Amino acid sequence: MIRLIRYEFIKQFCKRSILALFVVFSLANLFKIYGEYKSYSFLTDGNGERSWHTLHWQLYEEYRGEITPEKVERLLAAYQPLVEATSDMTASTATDDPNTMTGNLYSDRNLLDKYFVTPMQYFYEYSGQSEQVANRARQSAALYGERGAVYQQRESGAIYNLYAGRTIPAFAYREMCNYYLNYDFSIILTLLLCLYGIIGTFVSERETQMDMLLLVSPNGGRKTTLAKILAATLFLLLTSLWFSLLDLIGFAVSFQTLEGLTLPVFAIPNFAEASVNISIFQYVLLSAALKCAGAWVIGMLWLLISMFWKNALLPFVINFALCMALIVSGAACAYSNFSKVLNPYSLLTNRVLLGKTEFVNLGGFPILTWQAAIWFALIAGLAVAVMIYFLSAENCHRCVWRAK
Amino acid sequence: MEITFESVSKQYRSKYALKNFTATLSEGVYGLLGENGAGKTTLINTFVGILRGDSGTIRVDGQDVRTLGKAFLPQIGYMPQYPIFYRDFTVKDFLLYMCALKDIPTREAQDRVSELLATVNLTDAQDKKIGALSGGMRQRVGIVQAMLSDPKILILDEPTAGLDPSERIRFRNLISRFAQGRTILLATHIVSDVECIAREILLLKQGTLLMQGTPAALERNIEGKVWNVTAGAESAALLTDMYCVSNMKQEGGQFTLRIVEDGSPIKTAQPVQPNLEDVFLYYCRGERHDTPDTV
Repeated sequence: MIRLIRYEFIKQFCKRSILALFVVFSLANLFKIYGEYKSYSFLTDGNGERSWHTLHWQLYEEYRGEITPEKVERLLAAYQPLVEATSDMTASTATDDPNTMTGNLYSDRNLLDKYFVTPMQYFYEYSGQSEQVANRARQSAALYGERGAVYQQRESGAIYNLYAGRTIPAFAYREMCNYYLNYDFSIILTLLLCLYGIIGTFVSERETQMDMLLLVSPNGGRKTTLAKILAATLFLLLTSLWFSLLDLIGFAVSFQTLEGLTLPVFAIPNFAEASVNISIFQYVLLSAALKCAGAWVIGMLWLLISMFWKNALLPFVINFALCMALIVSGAACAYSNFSKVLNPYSLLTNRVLLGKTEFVNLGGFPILTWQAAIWFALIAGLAVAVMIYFLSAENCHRCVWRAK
Repeated sequence: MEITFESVSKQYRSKYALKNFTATLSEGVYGLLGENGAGKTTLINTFVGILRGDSGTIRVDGQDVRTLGKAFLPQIGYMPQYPIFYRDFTVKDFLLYMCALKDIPTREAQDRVSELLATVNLTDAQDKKIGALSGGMRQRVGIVQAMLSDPKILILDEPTAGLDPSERIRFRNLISRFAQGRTILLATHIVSDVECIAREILLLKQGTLLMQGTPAALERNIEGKVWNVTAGAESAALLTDMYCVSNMKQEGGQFTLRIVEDGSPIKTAQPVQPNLEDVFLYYCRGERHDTPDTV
């Protein structure tokens, strides 16, 4: 079987066109990431003595690590005078003021505000806010308990368990992680590449008339179908993992740092209500796994649809339309927890599942949407793979004549 | 080895692609002759298990192929019509892949591939991409893949279609070479492919077996029905319209026509020894015209 899987993988996915597309898409992704950095980061002004980039990293060395009262006082001591001096907007707008860090008072204030004061304030206040959420959840659980609303009681209990004790003890640079966690372009590239790769799996056998030869070979029937399913799975997983890794590498290289990966994921404002208590690095791994699951189940659907056609064009169009339908319905049903769970595309843009604490009611138990989505995807993907296996042609007289 | 077809039929809607086909084949080359659409490929596909027959039985050494199941597959080597294979594979990789499909162990596969490539004179092309091969070379790759499991039965569906004369001769010789100890079923509509190498010819028309016999026996069947006629240009054109002409040659303003017809087409017609092409034309031609009096 390993031999067959190897040959199927080489045959279907080691084609020059796929490899070329792989390179082109990877480069496009890197350019896009660099474009994000250039467009949105304020630290792109070079390595000059007074540049934000240089000053930020100098100041960062002072404030990084555990948030202590001394650090907060020192930061406020530098920041408050700048706020006062610029509050009435009458301060000098000169850009070469020797008494400032960057050459301009407003610029100094903005640098400290954007990269130190605001994030540190968020980190500092987060534990209090989450404690409030946890306490309210505990109270709600007690109230629901008294009223006999079992599901709501369980849900409130789950929220309490998730939010109790949440804290961000250390200060770290979070800009790179923020943009990385909110980046979606590579998902489109992953889908396009997977679609292009997958579409020929069965169709190419018909186009080359190899389907006849497969059917008269002992291992050419369902064994080959199984090898195709496994090779396609491998391709989908590798493509998905590659783009997850490339995203991280791209952001790390563009922002020239990996700082912030040890922060808890709720240190990123979009993830304040995250449904997981893990570090950003752990989130990266979880997100990659969810993307793999999403790509796999969509890929299996494509494979199933493509196996009924004689050439690649029509199934390509149908599968592309299916993909678009999943994307559009994903956006349209973003507020429905069940739709998110049922749509495998939400596993690819898993921010919608992990960024908010949302549950679905399964048999009276509150299940986090991302957990329900992954279980649903695995079961659906497996069901589709089994369908592909049994719908494919069997290669022996006994089976062909039995089908009469 | 003996292969028996007993009343095998295959119908597509109301049209029979194969109708009560009954034949027995043993060792040697069997030429399956017939026009396009005569049912050759349907017969082959039914035999190898790609198509399900509507009725009838196929036996190999007395055993119904349906009861043999997958055990039947290693006994057959099959070369489909117009094989394209995988353009991006090298010849060797493709053949090793076919070995994997045929469940031939890796080490044995390497030896078998090298041996067969040498036999068909393709050793130098083993690292070439299949997409870069000429038609003849690709057909040779096709026969090598069919021979990989050293099958007892070799089925070749239009193996020489589109080949130039020298490649066709080379291929024919290869078939003769592989015929030793095997049953080869060679489907073609090119008569010369089977004329010299076939032990027996099976003549198919509209899904029905018209004739089965040695080339000599089939030729004997139509003795006295092939004629040579010499005529001027105008008469030659008229004769061509009216009769089944298997050959026409122009020499010094006069035409020599080879006509396949039950009776003498004109008084001066000379009977000649039939060949297999004449047999094919005699049985597979369409409706014949009445004998004209004017020529």
